[in-house]
Order: sequence, then structure tokens, then C-alpha cells
Amino acid sequence: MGEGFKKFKRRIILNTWIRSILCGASCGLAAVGATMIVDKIADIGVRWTVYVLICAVGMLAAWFISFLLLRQSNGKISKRLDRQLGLNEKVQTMLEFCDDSGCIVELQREDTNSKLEELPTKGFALRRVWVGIIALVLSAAVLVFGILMPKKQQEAPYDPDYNMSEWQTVSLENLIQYVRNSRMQEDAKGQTVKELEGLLASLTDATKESQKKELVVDVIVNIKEIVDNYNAYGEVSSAMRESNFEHMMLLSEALNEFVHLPKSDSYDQLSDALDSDDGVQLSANISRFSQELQSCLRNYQDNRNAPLFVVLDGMYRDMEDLSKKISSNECSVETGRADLKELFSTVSDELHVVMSYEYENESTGNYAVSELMRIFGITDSDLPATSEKDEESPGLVDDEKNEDEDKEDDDDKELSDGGIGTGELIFGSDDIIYHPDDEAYVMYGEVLNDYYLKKIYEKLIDGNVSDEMRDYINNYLDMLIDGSARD
Amino acid sequence: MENIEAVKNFSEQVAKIKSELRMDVVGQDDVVENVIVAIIAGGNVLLEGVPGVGKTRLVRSLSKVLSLPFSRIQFTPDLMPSDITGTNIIEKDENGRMRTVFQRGPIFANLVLADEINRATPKTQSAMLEVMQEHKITVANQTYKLEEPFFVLATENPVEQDGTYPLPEAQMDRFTFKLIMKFPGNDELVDIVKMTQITMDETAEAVIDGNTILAMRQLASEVPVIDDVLYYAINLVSGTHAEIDKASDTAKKYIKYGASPRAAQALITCAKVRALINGNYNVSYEDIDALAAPVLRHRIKINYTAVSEHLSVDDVIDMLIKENKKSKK
Repeated sequence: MGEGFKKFKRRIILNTWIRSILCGASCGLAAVGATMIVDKIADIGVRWTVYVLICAVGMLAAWFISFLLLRQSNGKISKRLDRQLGLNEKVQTMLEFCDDSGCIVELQREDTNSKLEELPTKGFALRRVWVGIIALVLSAAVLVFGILMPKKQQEAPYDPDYNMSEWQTVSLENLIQYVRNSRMQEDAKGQTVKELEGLLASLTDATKESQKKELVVDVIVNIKEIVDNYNAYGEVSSAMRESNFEHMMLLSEALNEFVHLPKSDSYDQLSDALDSDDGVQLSANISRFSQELQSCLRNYQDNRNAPLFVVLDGMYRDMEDLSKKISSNECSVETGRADLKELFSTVSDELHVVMSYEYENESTGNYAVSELMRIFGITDSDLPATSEKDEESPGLVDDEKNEDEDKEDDDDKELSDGGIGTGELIFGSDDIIYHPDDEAYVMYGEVLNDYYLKKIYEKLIDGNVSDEMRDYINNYLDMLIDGSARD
Repeated sequence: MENIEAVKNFSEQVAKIKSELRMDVVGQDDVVENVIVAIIAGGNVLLEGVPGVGKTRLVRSLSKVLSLPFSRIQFTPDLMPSDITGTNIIEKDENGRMRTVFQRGPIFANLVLADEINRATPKTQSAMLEVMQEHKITVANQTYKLEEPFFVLATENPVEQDGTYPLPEAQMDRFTFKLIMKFPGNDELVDIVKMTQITMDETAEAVIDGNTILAMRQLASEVPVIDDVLYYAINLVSGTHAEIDKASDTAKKYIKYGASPRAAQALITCAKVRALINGNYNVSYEDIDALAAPVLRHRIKINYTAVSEHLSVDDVIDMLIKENKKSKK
């Protein structure tokens, strides 16, 4: 190929490069812009690294494919030159017969080359570069649009207005009083009352349901935390049961028994198990017990000022000292046995007091939480998820036991005022519904009163109902209201 | 070296021929050029024109310019084949003995004008056409080869059709070109009148000879043709056949009979000559398009649809060319 052909070929190759680069750039920018638009519409949350990747891959792939498609063979170049320069198939002939020899063929070759060399390349129009430029501009516009497009505004969830009702105020005040009158440990009680009083003050300023919910949930979480800080039974007894030490199992049972009574059979068993008239055996028993207790307490990481922890920690240290005394013959076996009995007696009193407090803390705390949920319509899904530790730790107040009691045969069930109560009016359903007249959320019972008085009772008096049916309905409604049946 | 010079001088030599011919033939530039192309290509020409447009004058001038013997045969219905080819006659020799001597006919020339060929009987026509095809004559088992270059220019009078024997299509196919000599325009007529007032004789002078023509013919055969152009010409010819798959839409609509393979041969051969005449060293699409009408007009037969739409053969050929251009690669 002569120089004339080569110079045009170079220009055509340059054209191919320019077009393919423009195509690649356009595709890359368009891909990024389209992704941005989709991200903002669908609110996917695409990272900037993904955009960079899309841009790079899009550009490279588009450039490569377009280069392959646009590149021209010598044959196509020759056709293009003949067509655009009006050379009447001279270049094609030169290319097709490039290997031939012959007078005319050589003349033809020479003539074509000289013509190509004479023609300037500047006059040779680059094909459709303007299309690539327009495509690039459009792609840039898509990208800019994608950048400037505002994110999809998430519809604000429906958040109705809130106005604390009189009933809620009274109920909360009652709850505060209940906690004050409870047998919670003083510090825990004080903190719980403070939380509830703070809630009462804050709720008067709340104007939205979401605010109310947030305030109440915070207080619920805080109350649970207060109880957890003062109650160590859950973790400690779990550690004791998981230890598989026989003594620790007995001690764990004893702790539970000390909740309601100052005596515990398990505790006595434990004391007897440790006792021995053999000094060596006695020391070994006591030492083993103290080590087991120490290993159970070692993993307790919460509040080390919790009363139960303090008592058990003191017990472990005293037991260890006693074991050393016995083993080092500082005291006789008999003295050691007497000291052991005394130690166990002292600790049992302390454990009873401590466990009673833990029980009251937990039950009062649970009651306060359930009441808050009931008064303000908070569901379990509104509360933050509890940790595995909290779920595994056993409580002193057995909820399952109460559920089982509910499932007992109705014939055997004695109607009573329910579990822990202060004689308040407790409705059969704790659902909260919207009262259109009050324009507030109220207890189901409030509506029930209206419904009972206005609807059912009128019908019962004025309607055509048999006496027996009337009595049956009356009884049913009374049960709903105050939980007791009329005679 | 000689060859290169000859190639470079090709167009100059043709230009000289044209300029000499212009001294005797006014106008008709396309016809003149195509006649020259046909001569160099080794083909024959069928010339159609009304009386007095210069058909005989053209061939006579041509014979002078090319320094080639010329003869004119006026075809009449009573013309016999032997009147064309020649015959054996008996004559006395020097010793007084009777001997048979072949008397050559008017066909024994390099340039032959077969005037009004369609007036002769088919038998006479076929004798003429056989000579055109084979460039030799056989009389009484004796074969006489005609001297090259041998060229026949036959004429047809489109006006007088009574008492004529139109050439059949198969015979027409032997002519490379069919050229139409149109009535000259007023300006040309003025020039004709002025020129012939001075002298009726041809004033052109010789510029080349027969051997040069043969050399030019050989040179032209070496002109390269790319495959695309070759297929372009072939598609043009095959497209005239309505019955084949690749027939053009024009052929399907307007053509009854298509052109033979001789048309494709004629196209390429003559296109090579034309390319050299124009100073090109390769055949182009333009060459094929320019020669399509002379090559095809006597080889295709249009149907009634074309006639009813007042389309001439040349109109249909133009449509074929346009359609063929779209198929260009």
C-alpha cells in the first residue's frame, strides 16, 4: 500500500477511535446517570464505589464493542475512499490487484497512489463524529439530571395528634402511687418513681403520638434497666445451674425458695451436705463449695453492688476463710462446724431479705411496665428487642405459671380480682380504641360503659327478651366490667 | 516500456481518431465514441437511424482514419449470400484453359457497412451474421479467413418496415452494440450543410492502422476489473430475466425476454476499452452504467405493460440501472 492510502487509513482509524471513545464515554455516563435516577426513585442506596465501577465497566465495554464494530478493513477503507473522494473504484482495484504484476495493473497502482497523495486528508470528512458528540452531551445531561434529581421523599408515617387524656393522667398517677406503696427496694423504688413522674411531666407537653410513644418506651426501658441493676438472681442462678455442681444447684433452688419464706429445704440440705465430723472432709467440703460459688460469681458482670451479689460474695469469702481455718487447724472441727452453721444461718436471713426485695423489684417493675403499655397503647413490637442474655435469664415472677393458671378448668377457677391489684376497676379487655366523642384513645371499658348503658341495657329493659336470657346477658356484661358475676 | 507508453497514449490516440472523425461527422459524439469502443473491443455495431444522418459517412471516415479498407453492402430483398461472400467463377487462364477462380465478395474488407440489413432475406442475413461471428468464409469447401481487425456496422431503417425481414433476437445478440443515430439538432444541421457545401467527400486523414487497433485491443483486455464491478455487471444482465429468483422488479414488470450471457461479456470487454479511453486504468461502475443501454437495448424485449405505459426500451434500461445501483456493495 502506498503512502497515499496509508495516510487516509490513519485518518479513518483515528475516526474509529474517536467514535468508539465517544460511544464508550456516552454509555458510561448514561449508565451512571440511569443508575442514579433509579436509585433515587427506588431509594436503593447505591454506594459511590458502585457508580465508579458501573462507569468504568460501561465505558470500557462500550468502547471495546463499538471499536470492534466500527473498525474497518482495508477493503472497507478502499470503498469509502472511492466513494467519498470520487475515485471510481481506483483504490479498490489497487487493493484487489495489489499482488498482480502487469503493465496496466502497475500503472493503475501508480496512478491511484499519486492521486491519493495529491488529495489532502483534511478534506476527507470524518464520519458521524457529530452523532457521538450529541450522544455524549445527552449522556452528560442524563448524568446531571441524575445528580440533581431530589431523593424520593419518604412519606411521613401517619402521626396523629396526641393529647393526654384525663384517664391516662389519673392512671399514671395511680401507678406512681402504687410504686411508692410497693415493697421495692428503696433505691430502685425511688428511681422508678422518678422515671414515672418525669414521664407524667413530659407527656403533658407531647403533641404527637410518636412523641408519646417514644417517651413511654424510654421509661419502660429505663424501668427494666433499674430492675436489672438491682436484681442479680437471673444471672447468678443461671450460672449456678449451668455449672452442674450439685451444691450450686441446691443453692439456686434455695434462692428461689427464699423469695417467700425465710426457710428453705434446699438450703438446709446444702448445709447438711457440707457438714462433716471429719476435719479434713469438712474443710474440703467448705473449700469446694466456696470455689464453686466463686466460679459462678466470677462471670457476673452487671452491677456488683446488687444486694444478692454482695451477700453471695460475702458468703464465698467467709466460707473460704473458714475452710482455711479448719485446714490449718486454727480452729477445731467442732468449732468449724458451729461456725459453718452460724454462717449459714446468718446468710439465710440475708438471702431471704434480699430475695424478697428482688421479687418485689421484679414484680413491681413488671407491673409498672405492663400498666404503661396498657395505659398508653404500647405493644411488644414498639419495644426494642431484648438481648439473648435477658431472654435466657430466668425471672422470679413466673409468667408461664400465670398463663397455665389461666388455662385451668373454669369450674375449678375461683373468680377473684385477679393477680396483683389494688382494687381498681379492671376491664375484661385491655384494648385501647378511638373514642369519637372524646377524640382520643380510651380504654375499651369506657366505651363499654356507654355501650352497655345506652345500647344493651336499654334493649334488655325495653326489648322482647326472656328473663333467663336477660340474666345471662347481664351476667356477661358485668363480668366484662368488673370481673365478677352477679348473683 | 513500450507497453506503458502505449497505455498512456491510448486515450490520446482515441482522441485523435475522434477529432479526425469530427471533421466529417458532425455531432453524434456518443455514437462515434461507442463505435470506436466496439471496434477496439472487437465487436460489431447495429446502427439505427433515419436516412441521411451520416451512417455511411461515419463508416467511410472511420476507414480512412483507421487506414482500413472499407466496403458497403446495400441489402435488398434479392441479395444472395454469394453476393456478400463472393463466389467461384470460371475464367480462362494464360494458356487458355478454363479454371475456377474465387471472386471475393464485398465482405472482404476490414470495415463493412451492411446497409439496411433487415431488407435482406433471412438466408442472406444469416450468411452475413455467420461471417460476423467467425470472421471467415467457406465457399466450395474452401475457407477464407478475413483480415483483422474486421468490423461490421449494420444499419436498420426504423421508418420503412414494409417488406423487411426484422432480425430475430438470437441474431441481434451477435451485435455488441445497438446505437441510435438521432436526427441532428439545428446547430449541427447548420454545420452539416456548411461542410457539405464545400465538399461531400470525407476529409479525415489516417491517424492509426489496423495493427495499432489490434494492439489496443490486446492492451484493453488487460485492464483490471474488481469483483464488485464484475458482479455489478452480471447482476445487471441477469436481472433482466423475469423468470429467475434474482430478477429485478423492473424485469418482472416490464421485460418479456432478458439478455443473453453475451451481454455480460460485451459489457465487461467494452467497459475496459472505455476505461482506457477515459484515462482510467480500471473499470468502474460508471463504465458499466454508460454502456448498459448500447449493450442491452437490442437484447431485451419489453412486454405489453411497458408499451401500454409508453415506456421505451431505453426507459426500462434506465430503471434497471437505478435498481442495480441499490444493490451495489
